Order: sequence, then C-alpha cells, then structure tokens
Amino acid sequence: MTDHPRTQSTLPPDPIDAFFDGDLDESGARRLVSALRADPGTADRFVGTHRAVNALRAPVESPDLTARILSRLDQRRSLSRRLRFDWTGGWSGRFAAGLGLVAGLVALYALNKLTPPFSSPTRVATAPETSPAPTPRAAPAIVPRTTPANAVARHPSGLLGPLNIDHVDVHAPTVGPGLELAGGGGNFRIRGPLGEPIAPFRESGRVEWGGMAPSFLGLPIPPTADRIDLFGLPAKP
Amino acid sequence: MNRSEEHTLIRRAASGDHAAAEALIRAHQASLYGYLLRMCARPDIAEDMVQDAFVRVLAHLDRFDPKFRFSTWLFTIGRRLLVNHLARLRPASDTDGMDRAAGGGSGPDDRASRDETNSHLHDALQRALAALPEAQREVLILFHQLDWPISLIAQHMDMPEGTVKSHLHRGRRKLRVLLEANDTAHHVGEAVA
Repeated sequence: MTDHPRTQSTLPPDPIDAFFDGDLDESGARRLVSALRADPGTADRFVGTHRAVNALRAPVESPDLTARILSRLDQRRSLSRRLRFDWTGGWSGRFAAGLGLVAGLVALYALNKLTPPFSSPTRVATAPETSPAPTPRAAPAIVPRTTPANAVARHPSGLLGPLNIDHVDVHAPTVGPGLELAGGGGNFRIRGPLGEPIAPFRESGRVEWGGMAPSFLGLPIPPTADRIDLFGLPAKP
Repeated sequence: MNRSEEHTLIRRAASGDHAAAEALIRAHQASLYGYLLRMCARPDIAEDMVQDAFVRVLAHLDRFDPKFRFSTWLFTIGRRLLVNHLARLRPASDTDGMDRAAGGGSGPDDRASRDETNSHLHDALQRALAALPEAQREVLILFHQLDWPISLIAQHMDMPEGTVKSHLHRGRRKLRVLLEANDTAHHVGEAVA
C-alpha cells in the first residue's frame, strides 16, 4: 500500500506548493503574486491546481449506514453470547457443551484473526489533542489578478472550471446569458462547479461591464469597467 | 465533539448503550466513507468497509486506549480493510489493481438526478485519482478532503513527514495534469459530437 519514493527528500520548494500546503507567509504570498503576474504559464498552473484542490474538497454524498452497523453489531454480540456454554447437565449436556466449546474456540480464533489487536499502543497512530477534525490550516493569502468577466463565463472549463454565477440587482438595460452583457452591471456571486465556495478567490461583489447601452435621453453611455477581479482587489476601470 | 465527550460516549457504548454507539457512528461515518470511496472508487465496497470498520471498533471498545482519538483508531481499521481490498485487486502489478479500482466511476449507484456538470467533474476526479499511485492518492485525500495535518498523515501512513509532503506535491501536480487532459478530451469529444 505505501509506495515510498526512491528518494526520501522533499522536492525543491515551489511557491505554489507552499501556497496550497498552507505554508506561505505574507512575503511569500507577495512573491507568488509577482510570479503569477509576470508569467501566464505560472498563473495557469496555479489556477489548474486550485481547481484540482477544490474538486477534492467537494462534499462526498454519504449514505446513512447507522442502522446497518448497529444491526451487525447486535448480531455479532448475540453470536458471542450464544457461544457461552453451560457445563451443568448430563452426558448429553456435557457432550453438547464440549462441542460448543470447540465451536466457540474456532469462532473466537476467527474473530481474533479478523480483528487487529490494540493492546500495543504503538500500533495506533498518536492522535492530536484537538477534536476529530484536525486543526485547520491557516487560510491561504489572496492572490490578486484581474480576469475579463466574459472570459470567465464563456470558457467552458474557464479558468476555474465551470462556474455558477448568480446575478443580483442587475441593472443592465440589455441582459444576456452568463456575463455576456452589453453595458450596465450588477452584483454577482460566484460558486464553483459543485456549488462549493471558491475561496480564496473573490466570491461576490459588484461589476460594471463595458459596451454601449441605450441612454436615457438618446445619448450614448460610455463604457465602464469590464473586469471582475477574482482575487479580491477592486476591479480597475 | 471534544475528547471528554468522546470518552463518555465510548464508555457508554462499551456498556451496550445504543444511543452512544449511534452518536459515534454519525460523527465519523461520512468522513470515513468519503476517504474509502475516493480510494477505491466503488460505493458498494466503501459501504461494506465502513460497516466492517465500525463493527470491529465498536465490538472492541474495551480495548480502546484513551490516549488516542476514536477517529484515529477507526481510520486505522478502515485503512487495513482498504489495504486488503486493494491487495486482492492487485494480482501482478500496481497498475492492474489501480485499473480495477478505477473501473466503477461513481459505481452502480450513480445518481441520475445529479447535474451533468457535477457528474462529469466527479467522474473525472475519480478517474484521475485512480490513475495516481496509491500513496499519492491517499495523501491528497487525507490532506485536502479531510484536512488532516501532515503530522497525522505521517503517523497514519507510517512514513516520514518529508515523504508525505513529497507524495502531496507530486500527487497534486499529477492530478492537475490529469484533470486538464480530461477537460481537453471532453471538449474535443463535444466538438466532434
């Protein structure tokens, strides 16, 4: 089961690895930001990794096995109780008790073979002092980058995979599917493909889209900001 | 659930209190099932292993050492069941076992009502995980899905922390590449269709 790599040493430090390990301090985060801004390849690798991690974090639908487990536990305990024998009684009783003893020994032997012994504490991993959910790692730093809103919505897998984007209070005079708006803007909320949060990316805010929109008095309205900054900084005009 | 509450439940369950046993099951069954499902890719097998692990642990609560957490013990049992299962799938090489483990996708109980996008991503993730070496797969699941710290993973898998990190970094990279390749294949398929 455990395939140890040929070398026990860790790979050279990678700021993206450090980020997703939760090991990046503030100065490291700033260096990572610079690297993402300077190199689109690095940025793509970061986003791809984030998508993979988010997919792992998506909740797994779990059946409720409580009743079945308790039923099996009761059956097992009942079997153990039935294997107890009574030495009283005549020869037939003692013969039956002897058979029961043999059957019981065989069953107990089988049960013990199936159940790992826990008499030696060293075979059990030392547990932390905290609750069953281990202490959460520190939240990773937010990395700034701007991304065109249309690119986020239109690309099938997008930079972050298919996103669920809700619009609230949209005031655009022309509204299309997704973020294909012509002018106007509104509030938005973004979730991942499975409805999960996409933190540390920006999840909500306001955006103004560029383009021409019908004016109130027949005069054209100049385009406004058309970018959503998914990383937390205000969108630049 | 803090340690004191857990120990109280364990004592009560050991004396036959069904409600206490039920509380222990409900506290841990989802995380154990998620771990085993992602490792073996078979919902039916994962369900069996979850039940097996709980029955063995609950039937031997008298052996429980209060120095440790219930979840540690439970996951140790679950892991041993998983190792046995994966070993049965692995006749000649790791690849054979992993291919068998990858076969079910989301398994015979695939939910027809699941959104197509979610289903695609879930299946893509499961296929990608199945293509990873077992150790990398397990480290990724314990670290990112269950939020276990490196130290606990190292103890659980009986390997140095540096090795755990190495598996984590390599596994994450491979997972990213596999998911990106799956996306490309998916979109090519859609374009052709």
